[in-house]
Amino acid sequence: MLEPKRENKEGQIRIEPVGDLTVVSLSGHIAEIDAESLARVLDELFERGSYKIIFDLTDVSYMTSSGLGQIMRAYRVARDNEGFIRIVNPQSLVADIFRITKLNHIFEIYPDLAAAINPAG
Amino acid sequence: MATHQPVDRDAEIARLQRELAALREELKTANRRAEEAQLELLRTQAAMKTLKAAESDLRALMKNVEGRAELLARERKTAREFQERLTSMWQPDIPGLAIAVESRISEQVGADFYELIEIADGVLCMVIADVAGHGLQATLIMALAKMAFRDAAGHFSSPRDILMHVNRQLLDATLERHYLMAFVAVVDVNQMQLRYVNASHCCPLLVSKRALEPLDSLGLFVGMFEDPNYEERSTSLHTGDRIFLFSDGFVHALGIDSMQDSERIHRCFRGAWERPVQDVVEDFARRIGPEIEDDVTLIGVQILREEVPSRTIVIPSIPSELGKVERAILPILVEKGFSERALFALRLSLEEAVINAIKHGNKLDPSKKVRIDFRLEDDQAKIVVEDEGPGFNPTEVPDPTLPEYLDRETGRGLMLIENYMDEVHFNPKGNAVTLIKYAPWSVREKKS
Repeated sequence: MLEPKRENKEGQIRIEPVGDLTVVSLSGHIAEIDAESLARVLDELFERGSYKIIFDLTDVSYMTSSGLGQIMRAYRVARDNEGFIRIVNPQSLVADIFRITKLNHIFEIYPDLAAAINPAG
Repeated sequence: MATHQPVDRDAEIARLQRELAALREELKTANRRAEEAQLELLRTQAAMKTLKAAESDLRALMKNVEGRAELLARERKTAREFQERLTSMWQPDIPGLAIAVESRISEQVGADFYELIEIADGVLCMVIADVAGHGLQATLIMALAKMAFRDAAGHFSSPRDILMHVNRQLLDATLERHYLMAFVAVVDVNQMQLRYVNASHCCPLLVSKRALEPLDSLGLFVGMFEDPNYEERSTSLHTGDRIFLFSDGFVHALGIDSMQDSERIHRCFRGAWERPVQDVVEDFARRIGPEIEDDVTLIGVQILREEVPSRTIVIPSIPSELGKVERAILPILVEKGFSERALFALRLSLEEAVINAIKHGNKLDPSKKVRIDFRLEDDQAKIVVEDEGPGFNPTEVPDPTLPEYLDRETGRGLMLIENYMDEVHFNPKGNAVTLIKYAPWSVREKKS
């Protein structure tokens, strides 16, 4: 059975607190299943009171509307709780999705993690 | 001499006269005999001359008759050879199909024939037939039947309809009732489908990767019954399949006595899968050799066309089943050279469509199914996703990029699909969506 040329990486989610921010690093293909996992991860973060979230998409090669939907949910919850979400370095194909859905107008998108953690400096 | 008797001259003369007469008599007889002998001789000589003449006359006559009979047979044979040459000249050239024919007409003037007719682009009608009997009648029926088949093929694409038409024509012919046995098939290279009817002819063979399958069906003789009850069958064709039609003369020429000996016949075609159909037919021709007793016909057709890749996957309405769908479809597109962008677009659209079907169409009910049909057509990838739901109206889905909808969590799937696919179509009910992405080699303008 032929595999696609690109490595078929299952979606991975890694959480790392940085000060009072939480960096959620996603990687691989964020498909439907992974969106469900992401939902659970976000639920937990919200329960803990973490509303300042950075989504690092550097290693995300693919995302569907479900994944977008979770990011959007995080955006709304964060907004309602005086928090924020920031997006880091989406790959070009993923960035296209933000552009098509016009979510690039809503989300703050940063070129790298450092810039997202400390926009001013 | 003592006494000198007076000689009795008179007696002496009388005696001499008597002797002379006797001699004359003997001479006469001798003469007569000679004459008779001569006559006899003459008569005999005359008799001998007549017999010879008669014999030679007779021989000349026989030669004449034989010569005429031979001429007649040769004429008929030539006529058939001419007809056969015409048939082979008209042999159609259909892209995606290879055709090889070995057709030999025997000295016994029978009336086997075949026809290869291109009905439409990529659609071939094949006929092989055996007219009962020999002689002039059979040859006439053959001519009539050939015309009827050609006529029918111009109007019908179903083998059953073609045979019914020919059956009718033969029944209506004013010639003395004759019948024939025939096999008719229609090969559609576009649909990769074979339809056929066997009206009591020697059964053809379909040689495929997996097996050797006889192409048999129910059907009575052609030209004898009002309702011959032809049963049409069909089977799908795959790249590399070979179809062999042959006459019983061919089977006999291989040394097989009974047409029922299918095992022996099948054995002859083993190995035909690996070789081009032209080679297979030529091999048989060599094997049969120059001497034939009855007409020999062998037709080999090989499907060259590469199959259109296609897959059908049915899954329960569970999101985790998506992986199965992607694994069935995406590798094919990778192999065919779709770009990374195109693969991304297809994967995304496929996923959005399937998730929509699962969540919105089937309301996440695991007992409800989602059916995905994929085909890589000439220059596009086409995927149809169908759910068991009531359907929806795509025009009623709000634009997620409008400010009031922008921060919704859902509702973007359709928009993404429409953006990434070259064409998107919905069925009237609204429970099946067709996604079309043009292939990398397509000349049509693509979206991305």
